[in-house]
Amino acid sequence: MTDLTLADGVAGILLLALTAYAVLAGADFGGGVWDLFAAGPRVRAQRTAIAAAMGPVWEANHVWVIFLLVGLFTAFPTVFAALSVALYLPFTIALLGIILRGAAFTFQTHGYEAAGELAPWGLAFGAASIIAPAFLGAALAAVAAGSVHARSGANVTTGWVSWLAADLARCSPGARPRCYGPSSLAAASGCC
Amino acid sequence: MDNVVLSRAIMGTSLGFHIVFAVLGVGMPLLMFVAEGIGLWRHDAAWLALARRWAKAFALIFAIGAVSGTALSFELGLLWPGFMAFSGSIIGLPFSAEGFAFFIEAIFLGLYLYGWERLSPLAHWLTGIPIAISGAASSLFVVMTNAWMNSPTGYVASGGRVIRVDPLAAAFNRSTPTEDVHMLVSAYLVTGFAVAAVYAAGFLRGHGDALHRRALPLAMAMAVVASGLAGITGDTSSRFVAGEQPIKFAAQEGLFPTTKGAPLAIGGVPLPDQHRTVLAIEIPNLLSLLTTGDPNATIKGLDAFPQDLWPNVLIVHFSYQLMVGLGLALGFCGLLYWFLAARRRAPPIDRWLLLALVAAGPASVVTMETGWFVTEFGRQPWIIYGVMRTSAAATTTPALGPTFAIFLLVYLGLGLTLARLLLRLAQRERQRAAPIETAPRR
Repeated sequence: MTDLTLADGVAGILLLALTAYAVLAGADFGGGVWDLFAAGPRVRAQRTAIAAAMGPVWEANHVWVIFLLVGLFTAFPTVFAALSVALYLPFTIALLGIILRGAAFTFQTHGYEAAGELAPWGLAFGAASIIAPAFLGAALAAVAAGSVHARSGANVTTGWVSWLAADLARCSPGARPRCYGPSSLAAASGCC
Repeated sequence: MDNVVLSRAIMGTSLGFHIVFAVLGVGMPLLMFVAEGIGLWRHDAAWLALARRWAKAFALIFAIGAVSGTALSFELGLLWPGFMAFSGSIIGLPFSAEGFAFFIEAIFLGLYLYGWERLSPLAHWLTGIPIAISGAASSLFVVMTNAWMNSPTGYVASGGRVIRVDPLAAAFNRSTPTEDVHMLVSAYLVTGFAVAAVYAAGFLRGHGDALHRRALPLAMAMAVVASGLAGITGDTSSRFVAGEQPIKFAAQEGLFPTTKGAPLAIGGVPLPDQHRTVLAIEIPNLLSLLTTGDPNATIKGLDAFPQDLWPNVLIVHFSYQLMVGLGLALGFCGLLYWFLAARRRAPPIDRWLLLALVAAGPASVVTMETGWFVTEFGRQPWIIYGVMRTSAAATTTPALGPTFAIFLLVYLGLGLTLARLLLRLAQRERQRAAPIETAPRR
């Protein structure tokens, strides 16, 4: 049995944080997806229930992604830099999704406006709840597929669109991609 | 535009947007805590209603602060991979601590916002303490990392790579005490004046009810104490910068030749090509006196350094002048308010004073933003002072132009929507507020 190093231990903690984010914030994102596709006579009651369930906890659940980012750049700074360069596009789109999701949810629940006035934000809440986990999942899949390389000494890696090629390959019909780790994020990208 | 300029533009926009919410996240919990405390102590329904009203506005403000802060965590890597690859492990400790502080703030804010009816009044009031403390702690921790960029210590590097880190020494670097304290009191200053501006506007529009009569003096109490402290810590910061980063200091003062008995230049336009500042009001020997205590001391000017190490002198000098000028005017406003209050034994609500207070709100935000302009523009061309140039840290991605455009639109949309919702919230609360005046003691 090989000895665990300190780096393995830290990576394990980050994996736990990723799991916590995927499970806890994943449920909040799921609430947003439900909100987007809610239909029928009880649509209003459903949306109210989602808002009531998410309201007190989503900000605390959201902290896990910050913990993850900070932990990653503290313990593995060159990896963080390499991922940021190689996965610029999915990270930026996911970030926009995270910003719009949080803002839209808050505007809706604390907005005190007449129904309908905030309809665009309602749509943004639902759409961003799909976009953010989908692109985080795409980033995870690109890492899992081995398409990001951190060369020692240099922090620039493969091209900045390689994540897409990797994901398309993994998602293409006929391919049977494996699931990696806490897979709800990857699942959200449609690659599991 | 090249990647360095675009990266700085995106980062600057994100920071400038986030910091408005960040300072309110530091100051508002303290105001809410005091208002609720007085309400419980005196069984005063209006104070309690004030705390509830502020909590509703704060829920919106805090959420926008949280998401815009998340943007910064991502952007550190997305825009500055070279910087993060080098310094991630050095500044990780204060960032992690900030994460925990934010965690605590988010949890207790959840209890606070949703606990009005579920917790006992005392327990509810006590949940305000961790919110106020962790809000202040977040600011202290984050500013530590900026202080490290100004005074990089606590690590050993070899061949461009960090090989040993002393995280505590990095966090508590030479710039930490002055930067941390100055930013913390500035957060209370901005909150005080921003809240005062809201209620001064309310008085002007004839909405001056029991809540206004409580909110304005409380906000002005915070504002006047904080502006006094901001003046003292600002003076300390300036004198510290004179020794730590003499180029930044020379730029903020618009001083080109190294001068014995240097004058203080008030206003004026620095002309870097001609190595002089024109149109300034000069007070002889005052800069030397303020900086060292000796009117004949020698102050190093920009000319003592190679020109490729100069920051943008125009921006740094203008920003510094604006910060000091507005800061002094704000302090004067606060003192005038309390002078009139003491003389009349009642909080003043004269029209001219209220108009000045309405202007003081945005002015306090400008003061704080220009202060950061001095810090950040003044440190250029370095991202880590004396260690790494900003140009060596920026990302190489080709997608920065569209990113900048999109983020500008997003921040604009968020800012406008938030402003509209806060106005709407105020309107609704006013309509419900009438019964409070006559509410019986509970």
